[in-house]
Amino acid sequence: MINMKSKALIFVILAVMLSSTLVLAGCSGKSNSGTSSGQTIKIGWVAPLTGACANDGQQMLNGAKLAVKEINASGGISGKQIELSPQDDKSDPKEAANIATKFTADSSITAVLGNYNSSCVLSEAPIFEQAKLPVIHVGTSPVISQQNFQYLFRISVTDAFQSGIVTQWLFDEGHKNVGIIYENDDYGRGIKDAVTSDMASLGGKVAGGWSYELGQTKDYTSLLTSAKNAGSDSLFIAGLYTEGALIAKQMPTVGLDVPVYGTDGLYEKSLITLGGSAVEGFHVSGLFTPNDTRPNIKSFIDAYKTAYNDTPGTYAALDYDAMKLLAKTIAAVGTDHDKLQAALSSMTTPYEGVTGSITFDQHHDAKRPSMEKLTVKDGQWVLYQK
Amino acid sequence: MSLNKLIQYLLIITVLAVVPLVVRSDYVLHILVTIAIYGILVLGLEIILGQAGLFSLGHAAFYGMGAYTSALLVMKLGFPLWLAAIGAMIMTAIFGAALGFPVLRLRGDYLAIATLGFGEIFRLILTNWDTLTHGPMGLPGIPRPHLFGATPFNRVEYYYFIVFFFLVSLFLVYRISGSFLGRAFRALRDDDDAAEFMGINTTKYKILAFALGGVFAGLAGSFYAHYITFISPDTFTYLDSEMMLAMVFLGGAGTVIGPVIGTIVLLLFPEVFRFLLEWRMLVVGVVMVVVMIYRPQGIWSADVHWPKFKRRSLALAEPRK
Repeated sequence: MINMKSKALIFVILAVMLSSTLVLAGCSGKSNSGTSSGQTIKIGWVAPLTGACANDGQQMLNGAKLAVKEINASGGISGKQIELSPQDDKSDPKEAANIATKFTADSSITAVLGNYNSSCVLSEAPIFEQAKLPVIHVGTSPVISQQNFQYLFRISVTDAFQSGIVTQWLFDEGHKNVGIIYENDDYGRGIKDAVTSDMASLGGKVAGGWSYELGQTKDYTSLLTSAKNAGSDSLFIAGLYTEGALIAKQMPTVGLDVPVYGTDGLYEKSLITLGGSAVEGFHVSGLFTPNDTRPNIKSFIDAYKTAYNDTPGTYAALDYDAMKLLAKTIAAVGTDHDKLQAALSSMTTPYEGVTGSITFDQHHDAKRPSMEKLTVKDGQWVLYQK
Repeated sequence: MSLNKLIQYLLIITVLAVVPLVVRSDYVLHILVTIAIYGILVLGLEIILGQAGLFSLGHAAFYGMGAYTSALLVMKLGFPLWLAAIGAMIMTAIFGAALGFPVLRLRGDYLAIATLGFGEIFRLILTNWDTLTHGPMGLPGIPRPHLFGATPFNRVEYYYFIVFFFLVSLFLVYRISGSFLGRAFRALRDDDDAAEFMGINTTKYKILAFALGGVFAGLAGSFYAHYITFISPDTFTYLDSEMMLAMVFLGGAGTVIGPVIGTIVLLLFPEVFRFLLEWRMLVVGVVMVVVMIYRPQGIWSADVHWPKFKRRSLALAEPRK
């Protein structure tokens, strides 16, 4: 009887293992046969569509899809249509590694529009690097630049660059003792460190730094009380919009009434929806405003509104730019991975996108001349005027 | 071992050995490597949860501890890789035992909460002990293993390596389950008062279960770190502990092979359903709910008889009533 059972057991393992391998091999075999010499140019897309960062991920997908639609409508790239192959990484570095190998094993993928979370970027980077597949991502961590990956390109701004601009801004407004409330992860800490060092070099002081856990901390009164007791004359929130709105709502309860500054993590329509009148007067850096009147930006915003019935956020604009930039480069040098990499890393004339003009520096980070200064006025994001 | 069994084992090993020669896709190999890593992890949890019945929600912490220990030993102290892997296993065994002590008096839900707390503490230590763990930025650039020469492992070598360790782990857990140790664990699970009455030192065996489970998690973690070459605190979250728990229960706790089947199912389904994008995990959830409704004891459990075998074995083994 034991023998019977172990037979059944072995049979099941074998069946499962074999069929799974066959199914998987079948899937990838199919995509391998359709090489990039076919009728379409395939671009991989990966970011979170579920989990805590799903909102920005969905925006990125919308932005990329809109760009693809426009390119295809105008005849594609030298007659070839672009096909987006989206994948959901759940903000999980393990999942991201799975997706990266899936993309690299598929020879029809020309390039990849990459991850939102820096930890996912870092877990995928060695895989893309080994397969020599060019990736344009929107991660923000400074660690990515330190690693000097050759095939990775960052289209978003680094935390250090942004915090430099905002710190200068708040210093110019006459605030010399800033309290920093930061998210306890690579994003928040990166900004906190940058603000601290920038403030020191400008001659100001940092009243203190207080951290919270993303998605877990709901009560900020103790953080805000310590910020008040430390004599902060302004607050810097190094975090995302949901937390920003919560902090803004809880500030009056401890009697803290100081101007609030932040980076583009706060710059999101949802900040106003969630925070209401409490977020009035927030000072935030951004790449892009939805009420910009310059023609190329306006046409993007209008097209986005018609397609998705929603105002685009920064990440929608970033992936729109990334896709357009990629298409432009492919049109110039073809689908060869190495030529694409070379063309992207040695861009001489900046690409004029909806998020400003872009070239890549020696670390493959987007070099941008400046950022927009934005504020909330009457429940709307507007350009800041003194 | 009968000749018949020997042939069967050889057959499995041959199939596993031939796979990389037939399947040229890196992606398929990567998925198989992932299954093997999780297989080892879940075999560790099978000892703690399936055999000894200790409800642990902190297994991802052991996994992470193995990964970090191994990576840090190599990167900061310049240990050779194999030694770092052994170091990782010793570390997780020690911490497994250390976790065993304070939770000795806890059972069921209370034990689950205590182990959950252990997992969270571990994650917070990873996040906040910057000088050692590089904080939330994670550890990039972990060296890859080399074998007889200068070139780092390619995916096929990784595959053979991890499949070897997986088979060894499977064999060990199988032997543990059939030995005095396994019977003591199961006695603990079923009724620890009765077990103590029968002369089983419950303290000793509970701690041993955690330590043994930790060793397997340490091995898996060490391999993961040197395979992906990047680890960060959000690689080893509470959700992963939950996932491993689901693998054990879905496959059939206490059957050794069941959890491995659970692992294969729960790792393959999300990959196969990738084209569904954000609906994918919903489908996986539905599959789990359906399995739990129709087979609450798991896919593979002690009472598995396939129809064909059932008739014959009944006829052979026991007279009809």
